[in-house]
Amino acid sequence: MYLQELHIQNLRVFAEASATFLSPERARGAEERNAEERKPEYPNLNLVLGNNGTGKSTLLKAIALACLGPLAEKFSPYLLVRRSGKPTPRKRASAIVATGLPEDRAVVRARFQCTWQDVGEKKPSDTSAALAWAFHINRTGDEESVELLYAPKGEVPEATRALWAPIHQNSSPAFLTVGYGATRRVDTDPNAPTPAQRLRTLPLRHQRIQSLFTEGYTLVPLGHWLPQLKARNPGRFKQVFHRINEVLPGDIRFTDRLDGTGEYLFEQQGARVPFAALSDGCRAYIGWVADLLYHICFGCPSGVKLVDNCGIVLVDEVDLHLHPDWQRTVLPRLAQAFPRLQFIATTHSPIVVGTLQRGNLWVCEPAPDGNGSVLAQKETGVHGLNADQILLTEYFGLKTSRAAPKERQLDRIAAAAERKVPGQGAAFLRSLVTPLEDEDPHD
Amino acid sequence: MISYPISHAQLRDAIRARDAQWLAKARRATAACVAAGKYVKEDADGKTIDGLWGDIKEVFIRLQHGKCCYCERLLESPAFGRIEHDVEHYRPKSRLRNWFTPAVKAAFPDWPAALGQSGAQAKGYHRFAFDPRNYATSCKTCNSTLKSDYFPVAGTPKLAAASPAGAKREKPYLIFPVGDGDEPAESLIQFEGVLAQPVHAADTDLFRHWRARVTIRFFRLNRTAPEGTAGTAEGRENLYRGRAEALSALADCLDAIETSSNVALLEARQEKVERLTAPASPHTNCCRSFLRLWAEPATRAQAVALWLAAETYLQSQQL
Repeated sequence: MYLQELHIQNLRVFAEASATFLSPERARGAEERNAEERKPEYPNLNLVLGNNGTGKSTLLKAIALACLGPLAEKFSPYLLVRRSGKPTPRKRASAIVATGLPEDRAVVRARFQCTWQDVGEKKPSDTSAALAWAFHINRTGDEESVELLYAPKGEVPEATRALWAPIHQNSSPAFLTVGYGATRRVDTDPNAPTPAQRLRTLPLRHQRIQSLFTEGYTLVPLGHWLPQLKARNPGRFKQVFHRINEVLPGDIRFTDRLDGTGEYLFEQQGARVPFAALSDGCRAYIGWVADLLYHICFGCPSGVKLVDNCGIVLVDEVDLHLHPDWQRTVLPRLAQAFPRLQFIATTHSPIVVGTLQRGNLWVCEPAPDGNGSVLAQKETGVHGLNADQILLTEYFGLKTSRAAPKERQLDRIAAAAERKVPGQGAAFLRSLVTPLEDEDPHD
Repeated sequence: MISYPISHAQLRDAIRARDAQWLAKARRATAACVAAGKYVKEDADGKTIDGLWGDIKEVFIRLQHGKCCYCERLLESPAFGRIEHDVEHYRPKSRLRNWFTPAVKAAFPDWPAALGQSGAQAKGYHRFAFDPRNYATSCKTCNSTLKSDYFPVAGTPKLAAASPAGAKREKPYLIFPVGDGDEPAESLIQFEGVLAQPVHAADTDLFRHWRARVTIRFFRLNRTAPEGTAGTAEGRENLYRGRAEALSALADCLDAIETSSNVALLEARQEKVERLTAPASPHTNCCRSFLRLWAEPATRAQAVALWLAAETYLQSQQL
C-alpha cells in the first residue's frame, strides 16, 4: 500500500492542509518527457520539514492512523483535535461556518494505492487498486475517539470493507505500515518483551506505529529474532544481512556474529563492537532499520524477496543523532535498499534536505491567514546546495547568518559601488572580515 | 557576466548537430502555442511539448563553457551537468510577475522618473517558448530562485512580437548574454574587486547605467536583496568567494611576471593570465576588470589594495 493523497482538517496545528505523496508505483507509471528532470531521482522518498510546532509529527500520526484502516477505531487518540483558544459560543459558530465542521471534530481523508500484497496475491505483480478512506476524530469533553467513515465521497462501503479485510490478519503482508517516533529506542535488555508478548496489550499493527505516539516505546532488537531466522530460513537471513549493510555507511559493517550475551557484533574501524556499545547515532539508526526488517520478514510470503515488499515507512526526525556525513547519504541509501517501500520522513537537517529534489519535499509552515499551519511545496529546489545555502532558502527561512548592522554596512558599500562611488571594492572585502567593534572609525 | 556571441545560423547548426529533429519539433510546438494564443504544455494531438528545450541543453552548456550565464559560476560539464544547469527562458513563456514591488522601489532611492517600470501580465512570451534565441543555461539559484517569471522592462512588454529582435523596443532591463541579440555584457557591467558595477555613469548613459544596476540587483550579483523579495537578505557569499579566489590567482601571476627571470616560468604565467581571463574560466568579467586596473599605472595602487583585501578575506574563510 502507498499513500497518494492526504487531506486533514482541524487536526492539532492544522486547520486545513493537504498533500500528495510520491510513491514507487506512481513514479513508474508516469511517462513524461525529459524524465530525468521531471521524475525525482528517488521516487519513494517524501521528506517533511518545518519549524518546531508546525505539525510534522502530527502529520505522521495522521498518516499512521489512516494506514490502520478499520483498526484505527481501537486506537485512543490523545489531544489530536484542534483546540483554538477558548471556545466562546460565537467562535464555535464561526468555526463551523469557516470549515463546515463543529469545533470538536478532526477529519482525515486519505487516498491509497493498494498493491499485489494488499489484495491477496502471493507474488509481486503490477496489480493496483485505489482505496479511498476517511475517519473523524471526535472530542467529547477530555476524550477523543476515532469514528470510521466507510464510504467517503460516494464509494461503496462494502467494497471498502472488503479491501481492508486482510488487515485483521496479523500474518498478512497486506497494508504494511511501520512508524518511528523521535524518541524511538531499542531495549537492549535481553528480557525485554517480544512483539508476541506485547500482543496481549497491543495489536501487532498498532505496535508497528506505537513509537510515533508513545515516548520511549521500544523497538524489536535484532537478537530477538534474527538468530532464529538464520536457523530457519538462511536465504532470507542473507537478505536481511545485505539490507542492513546496504543502509550503513562504509565505515561500519554488520557482521552475522553474536557475542557471548547474544548481541550482534558490528565492525567499526577494525574493531568488533556489540550493538549496545555502538554510538547513540548508530543505535538510533540501526535500531529502527532492524525493526523495519523484522516487520517486513514477519509477513513476507515465502518465495518473495524482501526488497519486493511494498508498504509505508514513517520516520520522525530521520537525521536523529546522525553525523553530518551520514546525513548526506541516509535517505539515498534507504531509497535504494528498499525501492518498493514508500518513505515519509521528517527532518530539521539542511544536509538531509539537500539530498533530495523539489518534488520530494513538503514544508509545514504557518498558514498565510495566520490560522495554524499548512503544507506547502516550493517552486525552487535545493538539491545539491550546501547546508549554509539551504538554511537561507525558503525551506528553512533563516534570513542571514550575519548580524543585522553588519548586513546594513555591506549593503551600503555594495550600493555605493553600484552607483560608481570609487574605492568600494576594497572597503567591501575589508568589511566582510572586520568585526563591527574592531572597525577603524576613520575608515 | 560576459557574453557568449553566436549568430542565429550558427546556433541552429549547433542544435541540428545535437538533435536533427529538434528545430522541426520546436516549430510545431511554437505553432501550437500561437494557435492557443498562450503557452501550452501539449500540442493539439495531446503530445507533450513542455520541456522540449531540455533536449538541447548541452548546446548551451558547451557554448557557455559550463558557466551560469548570469553569475558566471562554473557548474558541471555537459556529461554531468544536466541536473545542475537550467534552461533559462530570458523572456518568460507563460506569465510575467511584477518585479518592481514597493520593496524593490524603496531599494532604489535614486531611480530616475524618466525610466519606466513594467508590471505583471497574465500571459508571457509564448511565441518564444521554443525559440532558441530566448535560451541560455543558468544555475538554479539564478533561474529558479531569482529569475522566476520576472522580466522587468522600461517600455511596454511586446508580448505579441514575432521574434526576439522585434521585442527589443520594449527595452528590457536584464542583460541577455547569449547570441547576438543584446550588446556585450562587459560593455554594461564591470567589477571593482568582487563587486559588480555599471560601466556607464547615470549622467552619461542613463538607460545603460540602469540596465546594469537592475541586472546586478536582480541576480544579487553583489548582495543587497531588498526585503520581501525572493531569496534572502544575505549576499551570495559563494560568488564573492569565487571571485576573490580568481582575482587572487590572477594577481599572484601578474606580480610574478614582473619579477620573473626564468623564461619558461614567465611563459607559463603569461599563459595562465590568458586562461584566467578567457571566457572558459569562472568570473571572467571580474578577472578582466582587475587586469585592466593592474595594467594601468594610474590604477595599479588600487589593484594592489584590492588584491591584499581579497587575500585577507580568503584567509578569513578558512575553517
